[in-house]
Amino acid sequence: MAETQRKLSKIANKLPSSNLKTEDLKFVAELVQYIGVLNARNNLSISIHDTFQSRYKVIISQMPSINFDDIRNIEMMNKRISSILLDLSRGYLIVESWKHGKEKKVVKKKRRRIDDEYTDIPKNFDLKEVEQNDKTQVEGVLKLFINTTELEFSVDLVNNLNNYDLLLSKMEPISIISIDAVLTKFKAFVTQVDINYPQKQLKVTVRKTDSPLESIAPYRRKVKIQKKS
Amino acid sequence: MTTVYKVDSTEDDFVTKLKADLIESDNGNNQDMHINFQGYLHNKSGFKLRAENIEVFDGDLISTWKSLIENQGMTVDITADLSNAWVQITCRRVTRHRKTLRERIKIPSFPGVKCPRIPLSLLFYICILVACIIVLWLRHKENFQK
Repeated sequence: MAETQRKLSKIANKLPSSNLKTEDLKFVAELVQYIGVLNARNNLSISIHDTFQSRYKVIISQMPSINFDDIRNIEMMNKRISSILLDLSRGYLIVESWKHGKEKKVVKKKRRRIDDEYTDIPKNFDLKEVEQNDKTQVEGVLKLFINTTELEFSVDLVNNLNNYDLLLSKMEPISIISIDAVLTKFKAFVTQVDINYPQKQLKVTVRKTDSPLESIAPYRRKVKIQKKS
Repeated sequence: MTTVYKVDSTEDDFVTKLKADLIESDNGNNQDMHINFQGYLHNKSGFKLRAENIEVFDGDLISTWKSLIENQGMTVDITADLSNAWVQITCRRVTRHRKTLRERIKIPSFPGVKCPRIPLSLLFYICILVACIIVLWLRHKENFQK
């Protein structure tokens, strides 16, 4: 415990100078330590933007490859985080958080209205490689990404035995809320989301319909069927 | 690995001309300003530009840019990101939306009078029913007259 505290204070001393309070600095140090541990990478470049009264931004560049579980861990480190942005083209992870004691209590969720614009998949998307059974989920995943971004992005597809790898590149900065929406809507099909910063790609693994479920969820509960007497 | 879609990041002549017009319309207030082409919107419904190194950014400049882009038959959203010191210009092509039949034959609304929506599907079924009755009547007319 003392060792961890010493490590954190060592990292906090190395951080760029800022006017953040100790609690906020502790989170930044934890964040840097966590990402530094991933892939044993220690030469991260960090900048802190704390000019505003209520919020601050931590921008980490030269990011290693991470997956969505890492993002969830980062989210759990601090309850005051307001947004996490992935800027793949510049290789940035941008974490925005409320300052200690300045957090906003009510967060309004934006709901899609009926008259909101809804972009369909462009006709020049070539999805011939995708089997007819799996088209619904692959198109659905792509449609959600298209609707959460404004600019076009490149899509490559790798057809594996049990799944498809959708490799999205040249994307504009994307919030993790958008990725979370995809995971929530297609939780039965999207098995993994990897953020490959070195290759500037977002890899979304979509399970094939006829692939064995056991390989995805090995510890399933046994279903007991009881007859009603 | 197969390519599903590849981004075309080269700007066309229209964008190049618009960029030059936007810089020119500033009348030299921002000497070091440059405008970058960010990319096309989905379905090529427009494009995004980003103006960087802006020193003077006022209402006149916004309205000049807006009128310049709208004169080219596009709608525009101008967003200034002050923390990053850039201005994002999103230009969208005006697309025609086809109106539905229900929208075309909308009942005019009167104040204080609640008009129900036209039950188009019900009217359609009634028409089919009437047509069926007429056909049956014509076929069996003689039998009925006896």
